[in-house]
Amino acid sequence: MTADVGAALREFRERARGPETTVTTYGPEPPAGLAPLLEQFDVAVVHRSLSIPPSEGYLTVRAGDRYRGSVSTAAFGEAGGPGGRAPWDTDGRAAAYRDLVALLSGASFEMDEKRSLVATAREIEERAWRAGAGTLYASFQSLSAFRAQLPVYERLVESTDLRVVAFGAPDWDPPAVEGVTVHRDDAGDLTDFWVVAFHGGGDDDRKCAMVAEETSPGTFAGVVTYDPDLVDELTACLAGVLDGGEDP
Amino acid sequence: MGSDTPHTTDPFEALSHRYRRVALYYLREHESASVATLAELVTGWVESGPDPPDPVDHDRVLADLHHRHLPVLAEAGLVDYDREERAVRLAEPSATAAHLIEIAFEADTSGTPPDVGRLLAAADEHDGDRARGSRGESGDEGPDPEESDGEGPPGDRGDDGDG
Repeated sequence: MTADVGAALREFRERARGPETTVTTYGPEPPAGLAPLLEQFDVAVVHRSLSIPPSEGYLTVRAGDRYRGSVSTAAFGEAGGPGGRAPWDTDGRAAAYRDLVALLSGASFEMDEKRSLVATAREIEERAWRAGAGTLYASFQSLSAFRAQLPVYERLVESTDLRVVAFGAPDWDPPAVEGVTVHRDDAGDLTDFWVVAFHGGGDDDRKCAMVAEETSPGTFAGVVTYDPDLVDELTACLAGVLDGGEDP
Repeated sequence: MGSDTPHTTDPFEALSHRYRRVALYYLREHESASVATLAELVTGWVESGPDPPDPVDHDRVLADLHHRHLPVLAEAGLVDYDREERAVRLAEPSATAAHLIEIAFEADTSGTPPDVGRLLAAADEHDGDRARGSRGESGDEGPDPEESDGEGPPGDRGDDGDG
């Protein structure tokens, strides 16, 4: 069964990949803080110089021939990480990074830093937060990682109708939190994966997920998707792990 | 083409719409562009700026550039537009037009209204050009640049209305 879930998640990552993504930046020069973030994603990057103030700079994203959207790049001026604030924080850098992640759905990423994964997962959590109801699934590779995330999840369940289902290693003894269910992944199906999925409360438009696999120690390869069919399959697979039975 | 040729659109009107101004800001740095490039540039500029009109439809921007805005810029002698190739090339602007573009650019990128004194000076310059016969438009005296057709005077990064 371990092979089934792992294979299903790997296949999910493949199927979540969309057409080639191009990011075009506009401004006097590409913002210093943006290149390191974009390097983690499988995207083509183009710069079109425009002698506007750096604070007016922006980027556009295209997937295949389709225009996806744009983000102001003012928040990415300085070098530095994507911002590790909580999902509901409207902090400039963190919010801008979440907007960028949303536009880059369907583009594979590879991240070496946990904080980048945390920041990317924030986009899923923020959508769950805004929806206010439904189930958020999240896997954790260690109890300490879960503990670090617990304050965020506590606030999510306390102030919304969300419930959280967390998957963790068999030897945990996590604190009990109302609205947060911890499932011991006895078979170790999810040990090598970092999954955060929001089932949308039944609303297709709200479904989203991040699936990442630790392909080598400390390096995670993954993708974010908003495809409701794929998210349905993923959450069904996770529910299967929860039940301890075959995934459907 | 050149400043001796009569144009059916004067530079004030040409610059009265934000999409046209943004296209010119790009072209004066890059000489030429495809309509596709301009559509992406303009959509992103409007969408990511403060108070974007909701929503900004990229495909609509593309169609409007092709059918309306680029022809207007061509009629004003500011660009050469190859409709079949969907390629745009910057044309040599008159001194008035270059002056106006610069005033508009400063306003559009600072969010502050254009300097009225400079606009009036540009209008005087333009009237002087016409009086000398170097630009042979007939018809109106040149619209008040603050009151174009409600489609976004420079410095107003808000709603463009009907585009």
